[in-house]
Amino acid sequence: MRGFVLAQLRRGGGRLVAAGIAIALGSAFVAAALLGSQIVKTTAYNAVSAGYAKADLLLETTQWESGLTSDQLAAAAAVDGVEAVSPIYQLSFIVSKDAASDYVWARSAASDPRLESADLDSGRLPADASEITLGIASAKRLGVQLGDEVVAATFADTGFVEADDGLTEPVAASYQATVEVVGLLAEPAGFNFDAPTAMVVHELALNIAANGPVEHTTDSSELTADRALVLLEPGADIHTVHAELDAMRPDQLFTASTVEEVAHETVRMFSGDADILTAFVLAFAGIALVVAAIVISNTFQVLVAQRAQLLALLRCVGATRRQVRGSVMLEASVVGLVASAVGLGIGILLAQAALWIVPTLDLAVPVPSTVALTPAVVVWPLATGTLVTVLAALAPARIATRVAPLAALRPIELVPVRKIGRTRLVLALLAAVGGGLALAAVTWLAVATELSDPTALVALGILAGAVSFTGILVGAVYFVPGVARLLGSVAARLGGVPGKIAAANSVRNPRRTTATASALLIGATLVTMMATGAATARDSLATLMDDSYPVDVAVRGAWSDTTTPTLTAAQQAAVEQADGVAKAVPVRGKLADVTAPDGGVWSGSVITTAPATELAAVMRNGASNVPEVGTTAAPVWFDVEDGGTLQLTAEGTTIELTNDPSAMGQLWLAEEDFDALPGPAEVTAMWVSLEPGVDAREFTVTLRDTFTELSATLGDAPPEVSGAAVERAGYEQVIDTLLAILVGLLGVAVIIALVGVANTLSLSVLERRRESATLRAIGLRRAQLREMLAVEGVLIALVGAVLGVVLGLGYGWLGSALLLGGSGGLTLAVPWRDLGLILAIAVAAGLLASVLPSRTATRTPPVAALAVD
Amino acid sequence: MTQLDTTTVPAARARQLTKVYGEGAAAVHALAGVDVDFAAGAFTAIMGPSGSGKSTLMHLLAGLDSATSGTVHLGETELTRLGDDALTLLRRERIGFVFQSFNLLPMFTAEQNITLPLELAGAAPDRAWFDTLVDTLALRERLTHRPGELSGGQQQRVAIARALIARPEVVFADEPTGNLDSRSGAEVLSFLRRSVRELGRTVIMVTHDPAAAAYADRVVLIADGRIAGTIEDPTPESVLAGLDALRTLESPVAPAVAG
Repeated sequence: MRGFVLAQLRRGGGRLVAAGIAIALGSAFVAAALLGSQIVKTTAYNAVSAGYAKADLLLETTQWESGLTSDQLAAAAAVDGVEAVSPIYQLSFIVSKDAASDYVWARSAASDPRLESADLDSGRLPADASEITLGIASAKRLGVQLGDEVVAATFADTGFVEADDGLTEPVAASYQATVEVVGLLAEPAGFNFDAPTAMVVHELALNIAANGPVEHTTDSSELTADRALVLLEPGADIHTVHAELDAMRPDQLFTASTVEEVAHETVRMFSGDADILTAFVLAFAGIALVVAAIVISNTFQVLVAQRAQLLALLRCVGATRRQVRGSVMLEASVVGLVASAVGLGIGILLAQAALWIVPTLDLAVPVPSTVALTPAVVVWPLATGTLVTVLAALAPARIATRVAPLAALRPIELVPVRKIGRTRLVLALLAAVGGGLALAAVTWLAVATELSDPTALVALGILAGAVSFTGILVGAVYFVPGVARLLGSVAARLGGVPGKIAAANSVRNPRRTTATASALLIGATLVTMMATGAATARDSLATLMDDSYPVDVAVRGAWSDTTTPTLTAAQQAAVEQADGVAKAVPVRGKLADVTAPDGGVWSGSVITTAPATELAAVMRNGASNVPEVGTTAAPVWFDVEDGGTLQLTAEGTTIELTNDPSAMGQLWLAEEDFDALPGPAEVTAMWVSLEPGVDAREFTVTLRDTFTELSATLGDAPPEVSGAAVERAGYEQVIDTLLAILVGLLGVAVIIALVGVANTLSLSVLERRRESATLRAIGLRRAQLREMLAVEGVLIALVGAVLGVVLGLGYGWLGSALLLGGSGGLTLAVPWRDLGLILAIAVAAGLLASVLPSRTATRTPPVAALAVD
Repeated sequence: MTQLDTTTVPAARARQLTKVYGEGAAAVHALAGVDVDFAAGAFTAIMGPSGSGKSTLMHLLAGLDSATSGTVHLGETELTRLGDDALTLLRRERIGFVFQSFNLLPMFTAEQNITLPLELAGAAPDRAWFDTLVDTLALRERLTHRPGELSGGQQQRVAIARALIARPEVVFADEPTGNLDSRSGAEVLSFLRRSVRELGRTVIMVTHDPAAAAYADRVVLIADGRIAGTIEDPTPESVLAGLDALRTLESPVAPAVAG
């Protein structure tokens, strides 16, 4: 049988190419995910160990208050085999140049150059207390260059010096030193741990530390080191030294570990997240593999059907069922292994390509230069790819054993189509209906009970959803052909003879059409579900935000302890004149002392108001909850019950208001009440509605820039800009990014499904060679033959997409209700644009999938119709 | 004038028709300069041993394959000058085919199969003609059946109806009885003859069966890619005799003829 299988592969290997591509894509996905995770870990390891330069061992204190003492350091340095010990002193202080200042996270230079890990961009490290090496970003912020002088100072000093030029005498305890910038440190990369943004010599660090608050020190007079790097003499045994250092610390004042241990430990802590991420990506690789399995199973079923006569002949001449099954399984193993190997290669190439590209992006991420092929990275994609192929071929192999020897004597077209079993229907119905009902029940429970943490329900819901979807897939053969027939009748009406033939062809082989459409249905359902979920989340958040942020944009005066927050005239004008403002309503505020019914007094509370008629124009809810005259809403912490009486006093005048918690704002007053209290009123805020179509984020950025300029020229403290439009834009960006990532991950499954459509068409075309030739002989033009296959491809793809969209909408709504239902304000949405896009992609993909098969089909000469097989 | 043309212009004719497969030493001359006319309104059989070139001649006459040199005319149209689309349209409108393996579309009913050529041409079916064909071929009861539910003879009758539905100038039949038992074969052949005599069609049939050829008005014998003779008003016996003569001639004479 092995000879037979190999001969089959040589002869008909082309028919397995698409199945091979499907499995290769799946295993490439697995390989890329595993390599990606490994690269992240390696990068993290490199970044961690890079911080330790050439150090062999690391000492870490267990006494955070005192750090490593000089005695401990000296003792460590005296150990046999230790060449140098360099404590790491870290502190933060302020560096300023003229009016600009910047916080730096500084480290003292290592005592031995071999233990120095600083990454210099230019210049050199400081040589004495009059020099500093600055991070390139800090230097940019301060506007300094090599050779410039800057002031290094402790915190207590700086605000004082900068804020008030009138006071020239320095405060006694403060310290400041003028230092020269002698070098620039390369930009600390995102992956670098504890990378300093400045370097100073130990002496300067001590001086600064002695005069200000320093991190990790309680005794401000001493700068302490939490860690020290240890360099061994050449030839010294690291284990011996390690053991000796360990022996030195019976009091457990510090720990010694090798740099490898520390780096591994750090990476382990860090990569806990990376592992979750890998598992998440692998789940999508799993979906891609399931889709690939459908494509493979379909291919082998078609091949077995096409070879029915050959298999029957084998049975006639004495092959056992076992041997026939074995031949299919062997073929599947070979295809699976070869395709997985190709997939592994593609995955490795992708990962390597990423490694080539990343360094050119100037991210300063220390990625490895080549991928490291561990056994796991090689074995998993190969094993999963081959296993999935073999499992997918199990059913076709069983069908192959059912080919009766007698079939060899019958014309192939008369081999009856196998009836679809009843057990399948029962199981499918049970799973689909049962799972669906369970999902609905769980969702109803989540919405009804409004649990704050519905994690358990969500997990149950996911399980129920998965069960019902599996049921739908298993039972697809019962309804997919019907949908195909329905869409086909439309195509037959619109598409002329090619359309009619295509429609008839698409339902000729219900199982084949079902399998092909199902592969696409999986991707379409999941993508639609995500899009629907995203749209629902977007709309629901919008509803929630309309309540919590009643206006598009709110501009609030900078907060102050003593006075009413105020928008200056220039700031008000800036808001009114900003591009895109439809209406800006000034909110007035003044200070009052509020007495609660329990006698508690809240002095200096800010009360606010604005004309109700004006508010209606800017508020989303039409200002329906503006307090009526004589009422106001007390802040929750006043602890006033509904209807309780508040006394508001300003400059000797007192009014009484009734607490109405349903009214808007806190201590928001009707204009009449506000004006009844004396005292200067200021414009504390402005409420703005935007013109339709204005990008809220852009508007906010521009407005903030304007305020920053005003603060630079006039000294007006920049006000706070917030609002529903801004918040919504932020949320929408997060949702859109998540959606894009999920759809990207699902993309592989969709592409595999599309390969499946092309595959089914190609196999059908091979099977229908004589039919195509007959049609050509009796007058079907080449273009019409192409058209016919295009319609068939579009039909199959659309069936999968349409069903997927319908199912995805259902799952998307249930899922969103399950996730968001508890929080209230659920608005089910239909992402029309995305749905249209999915269907459009299906049509385009169907057309594309028919390109290669039509080439084969149109190449068939009409004479072939006369051939006798 | 046109009246005259239809009677005097042959339905199909070949002049110096050659077809070479392969190149150089491996070249096979399937047809080596064939001159032949096929009269309109007649039932002609092309006969010859395997490899004589009879199928190739039919492919070229029907515009299914391109000639290496020489010309083929269908009526007054020179097929050898036409491109693929023009040939397709010509086949659609002016030629009908009956195949040895029937070649019905399995997903369509008998009726859909029969009217397919009209649909391809976008022509409205001529109900009277359709009924004539269906009744003559005794297919009335089978119209809603799919090919899988029909016997071989029934399938071939559907195929003949399909070939005739568009009233083509010529119907080409390629071993139409090759896959049928002798009774069904006889039915099919008598229908082909009736379609010529009673319905005024032109049929050119390729066969290797002398009994089948005897149904024709004329037999064209072909051997080694050349016309080897014709038999008017054939009987099975005269056809057999003609074939025997061909066989005895073959080995010694063929080189002389070729030279």
